[in-house]
Amino acid sequence: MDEIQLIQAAQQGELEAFNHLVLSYQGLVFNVAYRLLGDDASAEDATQEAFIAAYRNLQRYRGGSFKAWLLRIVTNGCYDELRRRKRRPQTELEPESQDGEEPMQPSWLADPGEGPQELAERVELNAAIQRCLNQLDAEFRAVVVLVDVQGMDYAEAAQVMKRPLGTVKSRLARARTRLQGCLQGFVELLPDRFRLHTEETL
Amino acid sequence: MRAGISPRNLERLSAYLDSALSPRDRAQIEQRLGAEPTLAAALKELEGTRALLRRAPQRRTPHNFSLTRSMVAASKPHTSRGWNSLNLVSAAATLMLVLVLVGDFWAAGQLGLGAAAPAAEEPAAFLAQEADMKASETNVPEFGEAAPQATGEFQLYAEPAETNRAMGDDGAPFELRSFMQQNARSLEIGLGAIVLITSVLAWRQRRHGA
Repeated sequence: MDEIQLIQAAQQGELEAFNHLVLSYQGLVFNVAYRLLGDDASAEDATQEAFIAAYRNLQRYRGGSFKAWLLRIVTNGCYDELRRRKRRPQTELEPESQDGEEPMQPSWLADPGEGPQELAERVELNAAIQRCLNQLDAEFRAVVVLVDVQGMDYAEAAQVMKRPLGTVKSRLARARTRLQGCLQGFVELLPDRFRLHTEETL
Repeated sequence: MRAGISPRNLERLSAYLDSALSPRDRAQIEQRLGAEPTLAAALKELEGTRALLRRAPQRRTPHNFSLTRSMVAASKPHTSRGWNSLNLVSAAATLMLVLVLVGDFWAAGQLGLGAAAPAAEEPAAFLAQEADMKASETNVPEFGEAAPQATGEFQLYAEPAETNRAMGDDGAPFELRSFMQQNARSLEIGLGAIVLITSVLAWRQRRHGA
């Protein structure tokens, strides 16, 4: 069954068909939630809630990009969570480490055939990116996550965010400029290969 | 932000980087990049930032997010009771608000027209006349026993004329009318609040699912 058939079957109440869609998109949905919220537990909750909401509201999906529709649900859920956090700031009972970052080299970052040095660098880079993303406002964060981290084009991002193309363009430019200043400080500490300026050399 | 570069130019550079400029704008910016080293340096920095972000590791999903029957037992995909009931409440409150507003305007118009008062007698007079006719019809007894029944019927018809004296010209009891007149503003505010709250709740619910 292709995606459209799976959606139609799911709209008829076939949970099995919907779960095929879950398997196709769970990685993307979880990663977007993780980059927007900045921690695993919240991202897991947001992802699960997004899939439940999507299933319950499947009848309202009227065609177009299912991926964009799904990402809009999770993005809206993340915005709500970020608003909740703003209203009720919480302090961690047990910080992950003294400097607030992940304590070890987490297994999810490990690439087969990668040495401990490379792994450590990737952990550093990941933490730096997340810290800088966390400093952005929710909508600026979302546009960078969708376009730069997930590689979507402007039109797709505009669909997800329900914003005009021009807004996506200007927000992305501003978000990149803000991230630039933040990342520079962290990247200085990383090996040369992370300090390269152009993509051709990466 | 790099000094000397306007937000507009940064936006253009960012779009240029993503090949999202029109051919004309693209040619223009390329011309400027050749002539303005500051602009070229800003483009390089933006490119470096984007390259770093593109290298952000993708997180592995910690578990399978497939749904189970128990997870979705609360509602089926094609029904959204919460949304529907909110819509119904909102629609009912809107209808009531419109009725109250119309009634309010109508009552204001009626109060402004003093000449409307005699008209209130008309339904009572008409009913009394009708009762007389009815009574005369039924008073033609076919059999002797029919007469007491007819008298009873006459009384039955005569009653509304009596009752109408205690009612407004629209048939509504005076107590209700005066209550409506006195509390129209509160009713309007209350109904308006219900419409607003249910609309916001419905919108929020829709937003989560849309």
